This record gives sequence, structure tokens and C-alpha cells, in this order.
Amino acid sequence: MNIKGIIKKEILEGIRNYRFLIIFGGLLFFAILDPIMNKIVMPQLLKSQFPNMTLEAINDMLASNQISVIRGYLEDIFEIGTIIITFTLSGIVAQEISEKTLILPITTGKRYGHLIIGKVLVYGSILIFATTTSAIVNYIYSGVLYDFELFSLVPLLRAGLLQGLYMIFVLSIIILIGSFVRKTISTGLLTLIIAYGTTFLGSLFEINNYLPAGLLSEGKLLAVIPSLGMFKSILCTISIIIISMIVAVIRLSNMELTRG
Amino acid sequence: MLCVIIISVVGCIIVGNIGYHDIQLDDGTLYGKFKGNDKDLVLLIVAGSGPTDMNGNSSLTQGRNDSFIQLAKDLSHRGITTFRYDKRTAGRSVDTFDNKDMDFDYFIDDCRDAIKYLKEQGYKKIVIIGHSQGSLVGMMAAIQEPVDGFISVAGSGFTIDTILENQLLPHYDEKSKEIKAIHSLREGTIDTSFDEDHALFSVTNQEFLLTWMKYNPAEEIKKLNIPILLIQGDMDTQVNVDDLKSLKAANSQDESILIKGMNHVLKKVSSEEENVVTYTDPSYQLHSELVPTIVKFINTLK
Amino acid sequence: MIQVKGLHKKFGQFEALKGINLNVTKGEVYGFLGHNGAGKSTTINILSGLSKPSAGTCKVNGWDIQKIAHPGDLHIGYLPEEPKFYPWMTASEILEYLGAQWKEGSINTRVEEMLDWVGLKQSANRRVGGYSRGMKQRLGMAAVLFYNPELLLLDEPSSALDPEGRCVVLNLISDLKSRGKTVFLSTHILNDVERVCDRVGILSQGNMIVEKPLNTLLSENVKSIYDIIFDKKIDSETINIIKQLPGIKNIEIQEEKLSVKVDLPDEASKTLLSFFLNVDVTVQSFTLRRPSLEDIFLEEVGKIEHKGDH
Repeated sequence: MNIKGIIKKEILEGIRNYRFLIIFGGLLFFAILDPIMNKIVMPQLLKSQFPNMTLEAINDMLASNQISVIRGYLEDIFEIGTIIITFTLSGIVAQEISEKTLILPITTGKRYGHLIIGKVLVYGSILIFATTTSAIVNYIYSGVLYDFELFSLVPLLRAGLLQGLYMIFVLSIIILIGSFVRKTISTGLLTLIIAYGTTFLGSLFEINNYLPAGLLSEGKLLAVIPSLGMFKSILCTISIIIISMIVAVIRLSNMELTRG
Repeated sequence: MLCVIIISVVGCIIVGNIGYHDIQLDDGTLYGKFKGNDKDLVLLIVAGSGPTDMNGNSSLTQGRNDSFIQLAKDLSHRGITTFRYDKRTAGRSVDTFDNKDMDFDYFIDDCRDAIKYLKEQGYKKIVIIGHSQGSLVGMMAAIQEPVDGFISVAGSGFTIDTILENQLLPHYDEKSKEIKAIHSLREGTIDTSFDEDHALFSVTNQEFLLTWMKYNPAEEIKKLNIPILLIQGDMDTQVNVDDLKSLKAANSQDESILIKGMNHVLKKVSSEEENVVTYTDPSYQLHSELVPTIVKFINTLK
Repeated sequence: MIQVKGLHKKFGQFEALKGINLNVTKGEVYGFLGHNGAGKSTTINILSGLSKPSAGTCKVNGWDIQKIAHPGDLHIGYLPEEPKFYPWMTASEILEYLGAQWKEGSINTRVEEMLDWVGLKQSANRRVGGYSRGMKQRLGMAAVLFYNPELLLLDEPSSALDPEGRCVVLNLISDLKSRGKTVFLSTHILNDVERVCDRVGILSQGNMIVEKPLNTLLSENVKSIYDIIFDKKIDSETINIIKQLPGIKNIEIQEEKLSVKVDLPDEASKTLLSFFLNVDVTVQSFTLRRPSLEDIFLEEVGKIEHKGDH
């Protein structure tokens, strides 16, 4: 399997189209902003809006220790980070089809499977690196502002990695939807519906252990010891990712690329 | 694609079943897990009241505290093997039992069978560590089936009726229905005026309390002629220092340790608020003094 | 190199190809002609493996189109109309990417060689987003020839180019011909076909109406035309008389110029010249024009459209 060239192209694309920068920037923004907002900005804001509110009442409304700040950050990454990542990456397949840039690579021998694997490897690595790095930055910032309460970095790294895997699930849905819909904005919107929808359904029917949403809920717990449910979630998420990739490849193979 | 689906289904099944040992009883199966590599000595962890599973988590609460699994992991890092099991009203075991007419003696019998099982597995030394209600269960089982040591963690030192009365008196009048029900139970009578869905005094629960009440931990512990360690946390709001004193009074030779800042789920807390949070938040570690205390005791038995 | 029999292609209810047959032999440059919308791109998409036919058989470079798993299995070069590249990549990077499976030596050497061949060596490290249409077309030629395929499918390679750009592309095609490559050239620019092609196929409304060697087509379909320029516009009465003369097929009037289509040029020239001697007209120029491919094309296509109307 010769995908070195494909990986190199995806890396170049990610750099030159600023996709990597947007992903890193977006996640780091929340990693740094959340603790500062909680500790400094929000209390001032609440005080100015509600002058009669006591300090105790203000503290009750806001995160008051490192662990709760980190959990707030992890929640923000799910809610807002997913949007940033979805729309940043929504064109990685859809745009290639609509702009017909796949024609020459395909006719010169590139395989659809290799193209998809290349995208997942490159963007997946960046997502994992970004989520983990941002989590560490958030840990440091929140520790400086609130005192270091979390007993070790392990639960935090686990949370970052689980979020990274969740984002790879989102990436695989982008690729799958993009291969059907072929329009960037529609791909982004449908992906968000699926991402948020599965999380909602997982909570409603208590089947998070079998859905990617389980990764986020386990990560947020920052547990000393992860539950067995986390492993089931990981397995199911990886399966969904692989199935999405396979379906996308089948779809692309049967598509008339020239019709755009 | 079919392969991927099959692998993930099989994988989930394997993950859900990995590491379990089953103890076949006449009326059901107890599921348990070992942790640790020592093949000579094993610490049998006995859980407390309610549907508390082998990890220390209750199905009645949203969230986890993971106290027993953390304990097992920390002890295994220090070379001590543990065996913990889902009691018949909790976790994986609950579906294998018909728990209609519960009797406290069933818990004792189950614990005794677990001890026998460990002996069959070839362990030369068995130490019971009972938490809360599990302390009474463990000591009763140890009386019936000899073991090499006993540790009580947050174990009650009084009969259950006394404990209940002490817990209810701050909230209920002496003449209230609830307090009267406790007095009836002491006389061996069940008050049938309560609804069946009453949390504490349904007829079913009163029948169970009757089977529990007959055991006084402070008396039963005297029957054990083995090394005993009593551990209590001073931030425990369910079992307190008086219970420790009651158990200690039974035999002054027994070692007793009061751990400052430790609550009922074995975590270090500094406020009432934090105390409540630790019951459902698995990010809290065990109190740092708990495991070294246990390890020191175990090492004297090796 | 290409054998097509009874090729059909339907898009929903619309039948784009209605059972076409064509053959391309090794080493020839085949000109595939048709109006916009005739079905040329549909045909070439099928030949390139990017589209599947609805019915019929199609063999390209020895491979059955219906049986290949992937267009790359055909080992041909396909240049689409308006090739699309990643604008943020340089020409070198694009060729390196597309030619990643090159095994016959250093890929960098091959990239340099191809860029040199198409005249893009100086712009090798410029991003393609800044390239002109002609430069992109040349880069496309370099891309499709990278693996040195024996068969090339070129879809409108010179359309929308300026005359200089067209010239460069046609020179490249001539060069390919001299190297013994087989080229299937789909175009609506008839001059290009006349310049480089050996054989011609004309497609109209999804039907193959003509497929012949170019020389044969030109000689068989000769309808000689005399271009006659007068000193003034000829009146309609005179024109009607000319139309009735023996051997005259048709007259096109353009101000002072008449284009008279005749059956037998030699006989017709005597008839016409005799006529003009006897009327009050001054002939400034009397030239025999052999019809071009465009003329043949328009006539053949016109026949089909006329048939269709009935």
C-alpha cells in the first residue's frame, strides 16, 4: 500500500489551507479561555450585572476548582469544538468531488481506499494531537488559576485521547456524508446533526457505552480508573469509523466523478 | 464490513465478560474478579448494604465512586491480591438470584461460600475486608469458615435497629410511626401499616431487618480469634467513631485506626459538600493513608 | 486499442448514447467530433473507466470496461476537459503526487523531464492557482503522460485556449504521434482535427454518423465550391439563373461573393465562365475551394437533423 504520497499531499493541504492552524487554534482558544473566563471575567461580569449577588452565590454559579474547570472545557470542546472541526474539514471529500480534483489522481492509479485512509491518518493524527495538547494546556492554566487538584495527568490524557477518537468519528462521518452529498455546507450540517444526535440518543436510551458519545462522558469523569464501558465505546467507535470509511469507498467507486 | 460488525459485537461481549470468576451456588451464581499476582494470600472484599457492586458502586445512584476497584488496584500494585464479588442483590449476580424473600443470612452464606471458593483456588491465607454492612457479613462468615485475618472498614458497631433509630431520631419524634416501627421490630413484630413502596419500612424490608437485627457486631466480633484491624474515617456520616469504639471495646487487643478526613466511601474530603460529591465522582482517589494501613496489617500476617 | 460496439448510455430517461460503434487502432490519432451535447464527453468518460455504459461492449487497451475494478487498471492517460488541480500545490508537487507510483528511475528526474517537455520548467515551483488556462492544460498533458501510457484520451485539450496555447497543445499532440502513441482526441474544433488526426468519427445526438480515415472522408465528400468575387452585388434574378445551370448544387451569397457548390468542378467551371461572359458582370476572382472538414461535418450533421425532423 503506497500512500506516502497521499499522506504528504494531505499534510501540505492541511498546512497551506490553514486547516491544521484552525483546528489547533480553535481548541487552544478554549483551553486557555475557559479557566480565565471562569476565574476572572465571569465573576466581574456577574458582579456588574447583579451588584447584590453575594460572592458565595457567584461562586456557586461558576466552576470553583480545577476539576470542574477542566470538565467545563471538555464540554465546550464537544459543543463548540465539534462545530469548528466539522466546518473546517467538511470539504475534504465533498469539495474534491464537486471541484473534480479527484479525476486525475484516480485515473493515474490512486485507489479510493488509499485516499480515504490517507485523509483519516493525517487529520486523525492532528485531531488526537490537538485534543491532547489542548487538554494539557487547559490543565496547566486551570492549575495555575485554581491550584492543581487533579491527582495526576493520566485521567486528563485519557480524556484528551478519548476526545480525539470522538473527533475521528466525526471525521469519518464527514467523509461518509461528503461522498454522498458532495456539498460542503450540507456535509457540515448533516455531520453535526449526527454528532449531536447520537449523543442525545445515547443519553436518552442509556446506550452511551455502545456509541461514540460514551467516549466523551467517560473522558469527562476524569476517573482514577476507567470503566469497562469505555472499552466497549472505543470498540464501537472504531467499528463505526471503519464502516463509514468502507461505505465511503464503495460509494466513491460507484460514483461518476465527472458529474461533480 | 460484516467482519467489522461481528468483531465489534464479539469484542463487546468479551470486554463485558473478561476476568469474571463464577461461584455456583444452589440458588444462583456469584460473579467475582481477582486482581493481583500473589497466589498465597488473598484479601476478600465484602461490600456494604444496598445494591453495591464489586467496584463499590450502587445502582441507586447516578455516577460512580469506584472505591473497591481503586482499593483492589492500589493493593495489587503493592503485591496484595484481592477478590471482590457482586453480592446477590447487585451487579452481574442479581439476575441469577430470585431475591423475593431476602434474609441477612444469605449474605453470610454467600460470603462463606466465597471463602470456600478461595480455598479451592489454592490460597493458603485468606483475609476478609468488610465495608459497612459487609463488616458484619464478613465477621459472621469468618466465624463459620475460618480465615487468617479480618479487617473492618467503616463497620457498624451496633445492631441495625439501634443504627436506624439513631439516624431517624434527629428527624422523627419518639412517638412517630417510624420510631414505633423500630420498637415493634425489637419485639419481633412487623408493622403492616406502611405502604409496600416505603423505602425503609415496607413489609418486605421489615422482614429483612428482622433477620439482620439478630446480629450484634460488638458481640459477634468477640467470637473471632484471629488478628483484627478496625479502620474508621472521621468524616464518615453513615458510620462514626462511636461504632469504632463499640467494636474496639469487644477486644482491646484489636488494632484500631481512625483516619482523619476519610469518609464512608474511603475518599479524602474536607467539607460536607465534598463528602456528598465523592459518592458519585470517580475522579477522587482513595485516602492516602488507607492502603498503607491495610498493607502494614497484611504484612504482619505473611 | 479501442473497440466499442453498440454502446448505450442512459441518464434517467434521457439516452445520451444510442448504440455507437468505433475502433481506434494502435498508433493513430483519432479525432472524435460532435456538437456540444452530442455525447462526446459521455463517450470519453466511459472509455476512461470513470463511467459505466448502460449497454454494449467497450474494450480499452485490452481491458473490458465492464470488468475493471478501478479506472487506473486501464493504464491509459486521460485528460479531462479543463483539468482540475489543487491550486495550493506547485506543478512539481502535483506531478510528484500523481506520479508517486513511478518505478522506472528517480521520480524527480521524471518530473523535470515532463515539465521540460510541456514547457513548464520555469514555472515548476509556482502554485498552480496562478497558472493560466493554457499552462494548466500543458500541466495536464504532463500528468497524463507521466507513466508513459500507450493510449491517451484527450477531452477538448485546446478549447478555450488562445491561438498560441492551441498551437502549443497541437504541437504536443503531433509529438505524441511521432512517438507512436495512440491518441483519442475529442474536440469540436475541426481545424485541430484536420491538423493532427488520421481518422475521424462524427457523433451527433448520440449516434455515430461517420467513421473514416480523414483523407478518405475529405476525398469522398468533396463537393467542390467555386468562390467567385464580383465587382458589385449580383441581383437575385441572375442568381436564380445561375442556380438553374447544370451541375450547380447550391449557392451561398455574401455581399459581392458567391460560393457556388458544384458536382464536377471541371464541367462546372466551363458552364459558369461561359455564363459570366454573357452577362453584365465583372468577375474579380474565380477560385476553386475544396470543402473543409467543417463543411463535411455541417453537411453530415445537417443530414441527421433533417432526418430527425421527419
